[in-house]
Amino acid sequence: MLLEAKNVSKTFRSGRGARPVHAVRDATLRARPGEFVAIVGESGSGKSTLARILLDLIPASSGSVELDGVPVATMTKAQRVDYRRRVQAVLQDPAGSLNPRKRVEQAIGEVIRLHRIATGRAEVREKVCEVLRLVGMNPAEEFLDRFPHALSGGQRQRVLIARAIALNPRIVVADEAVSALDASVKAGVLRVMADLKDRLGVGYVFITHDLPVVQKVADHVYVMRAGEIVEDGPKDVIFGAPSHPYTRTLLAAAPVLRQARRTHVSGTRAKGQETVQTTETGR
Amino acid sequence: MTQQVSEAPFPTDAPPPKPDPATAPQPPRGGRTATWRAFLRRPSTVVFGSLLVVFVLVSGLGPFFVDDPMATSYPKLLPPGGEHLLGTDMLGRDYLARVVHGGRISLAVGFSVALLCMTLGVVIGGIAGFFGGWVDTVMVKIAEFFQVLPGLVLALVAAALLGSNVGIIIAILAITMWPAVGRIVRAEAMRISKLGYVESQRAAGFHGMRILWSDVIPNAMPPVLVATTMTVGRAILIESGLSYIGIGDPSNPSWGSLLNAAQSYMREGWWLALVPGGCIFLVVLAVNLLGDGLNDALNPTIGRVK
Amino acid sequence: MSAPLVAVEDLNVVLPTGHRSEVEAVRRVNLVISDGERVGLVGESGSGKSVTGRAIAGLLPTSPLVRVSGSIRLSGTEMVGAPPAAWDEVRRKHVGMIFQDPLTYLNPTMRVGKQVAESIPAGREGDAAARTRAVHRFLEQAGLEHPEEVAAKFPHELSGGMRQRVLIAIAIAKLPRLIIADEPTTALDATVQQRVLRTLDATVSELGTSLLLISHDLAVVAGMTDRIYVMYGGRIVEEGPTEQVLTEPRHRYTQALLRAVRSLTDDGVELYSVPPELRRELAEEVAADAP
Repeated sequence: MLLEAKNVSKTFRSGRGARPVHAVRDATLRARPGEFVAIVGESGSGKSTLARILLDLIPASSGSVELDGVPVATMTKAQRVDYRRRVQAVLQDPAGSLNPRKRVEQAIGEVIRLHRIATGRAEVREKVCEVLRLVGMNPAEEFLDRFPHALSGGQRQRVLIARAIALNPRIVVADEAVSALDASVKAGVLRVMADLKDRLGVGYVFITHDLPVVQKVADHVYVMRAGEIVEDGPKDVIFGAPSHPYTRTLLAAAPVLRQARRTHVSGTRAKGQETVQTTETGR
Repeated sequence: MTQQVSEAPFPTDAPPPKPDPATAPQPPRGGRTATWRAFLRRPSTVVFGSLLVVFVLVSGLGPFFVDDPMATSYPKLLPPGGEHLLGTDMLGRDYLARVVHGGRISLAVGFSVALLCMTLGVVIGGIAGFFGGWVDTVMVKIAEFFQVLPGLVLALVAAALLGSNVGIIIAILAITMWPAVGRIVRAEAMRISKLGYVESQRAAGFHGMRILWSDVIPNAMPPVLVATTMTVGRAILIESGLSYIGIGDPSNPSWGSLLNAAQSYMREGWWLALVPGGCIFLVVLAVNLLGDGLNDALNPTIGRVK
Repeated sequence: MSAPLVAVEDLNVVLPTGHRSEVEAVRRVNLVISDGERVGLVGESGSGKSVTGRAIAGLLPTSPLVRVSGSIRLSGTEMVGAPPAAWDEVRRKHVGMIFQDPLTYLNPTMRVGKQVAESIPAGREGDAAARTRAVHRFLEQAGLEHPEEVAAKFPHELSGGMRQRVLIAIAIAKLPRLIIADEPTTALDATVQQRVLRTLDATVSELGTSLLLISHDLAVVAGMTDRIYVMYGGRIVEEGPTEQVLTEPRHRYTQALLRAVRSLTDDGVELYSVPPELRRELAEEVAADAP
């Protein structure tokens, strides 16, 4: 199976007189099951728009998204349902991606029912428990009756992943799936994702601005800036020998825990504010 | 409740043991029953819920027990007490009987109008806000048309053509009042449509109507419930205004018509205005406060600091 | 020696979490910040670090349900139980705050320059022209080029990084003795984050202001502070010079946290998260510790 974005562009026209925004320009991208593909870029780079185009949530202005060579736009209804099952989404913002009024069991169970992975109350429940265990929420029964607000951020994110993998998808498009999490929880969720890749052969399109994470888990990296993919290649190449200057800037800015860093010298502090610091660009 | 920590099991590595209330999950609720329990436990629910139940029971069953509200067989303007608990009116009719019968009309109008408004508002507002585009434009135009329709003139015309009975009054009030609810539903639906979980549902393959029904509308309900309870009060008041200008069934007086009729007898018969006025006030207050409490109980995220 | 700038002793904060439920968000916290010192407060979400920061600035909601006990002394003055007016005075003159989400802390209908000007204590700069010059100076000091242009703009016309710098300008305009920065760069992109941190670093050094930097991101705190407090479950589990905490952590939680953070960046290390058993033990410890 191969999920492809071919020369995809997206232009938003906002209101009269406003200049159209080119959110994505001519982006080409490939993802396969069992492969961890990362799209990195800063906010406004168009990476989330590209993710939504890949998921067929918004139509591309030009270009096409194809699954095994079949453009999503020309799919029959049955093909589209199949596409929805095989390509799943884990979207940004763990707090907002679960309906606050649905319990865990219902949130996961409803997609299982929709795609007829299981039918019947007991069977659906068993399947829900199974995927909850897969993402490390044990004992699963404990979580079935909880509302999202009774889960921690990491747990909500796991529920979203469980919901996505309940349909045995081949590719999961994850938009900033771990960015808002604490380091320890982030490591836990990433481990679950890597584990699912190894065990079930799930492929990921992982959209993030978090470079250390990408370096840790990705196989192939696309770097986006202002709507364009400026560079792509295997992880080692991107991190080892980045060719685009923007990639180098991103790499340099990535926060890494250094053993210690003291930049200011305590003795030279002046109480006055007259001395104007050399300013750097504020944008 | 300060020691949830020791009881809460931590089967995975995720939950922090000591939640910061600003971000932390609340202790899990037991289930739907717990939500209702939280609602029913509130002191205001107990007080005003019972009050409303009493009003509904009295208006529903009372007419079987009280005198004929139209019989003019007693002395005029008898003050409350003794044989006539609420005295008699200016024509010598038993006022208790009139108030009880009036309650039936007023409550029927209030609740039916509110229910109709909510249904129309949720369906039309929900579809408009969720689907957007031309659907939204059309629905908004329809709502605006009904909103600018002068209810009074409509009521007069309808009364002239169809005769005036309670059903027509209810229909006219619902038709002119639903856009207010619809607007709220539309705004909420628009907001919720942009949230992550709606997008997740789309990505999972659910179709629009299902998402609207299952994810958007339930989350849009809190302000709608509050608006609906307000509608109960407003409908009761508007109905009384309509009775004043003679639209309404003179043989079935509502609290509004009683209140209006009492106007000229303020000095001789204070109870004539006070009783129906007090009834309207209490019902409207009770319904509003219950709506408020229901809102709090149904909203699982309420009570968070921040 | 005079009293330290901030001395928190045995601070407890109880916050309501809902109808008739509450949580001890902060328990027996001791924390000291000396003049000119930079202190970090690290912990995951829910650890009580933000509540502690807000308590020091007197920014906890004033409600009978919010109970603060213990002692917070600012330059020797006891502030727990102090009247709101005293807190207002402290915040107006001595403590500047920088928050995660600048948009909610900036008035959307007021030009940036005016908001900075409002932060300058009355009478300090004399006439209007002097105030305007001061505003521009602070904006520039906060790393904003062309301060005249920026001052004339509304918050929504600025980028996220620039808004955060405006907050820094507002904070330093009072020439405070302490700046409390609560997750100041969490919402920003890495490249912008780095620049904002550098600006904060430079301004704090230049003014000789003390800094309390609150963050869940150990990497951010490590590069900016002399001393670190690590919080977990409302308590401070470890305290020490930054370098020492990073190289020789004593508490099990700090050790696990450091291992998790490193596992996210270091090559050839398996991803590690704080094990559930440790969390359970810590939770029991917290429960046993309760009075």
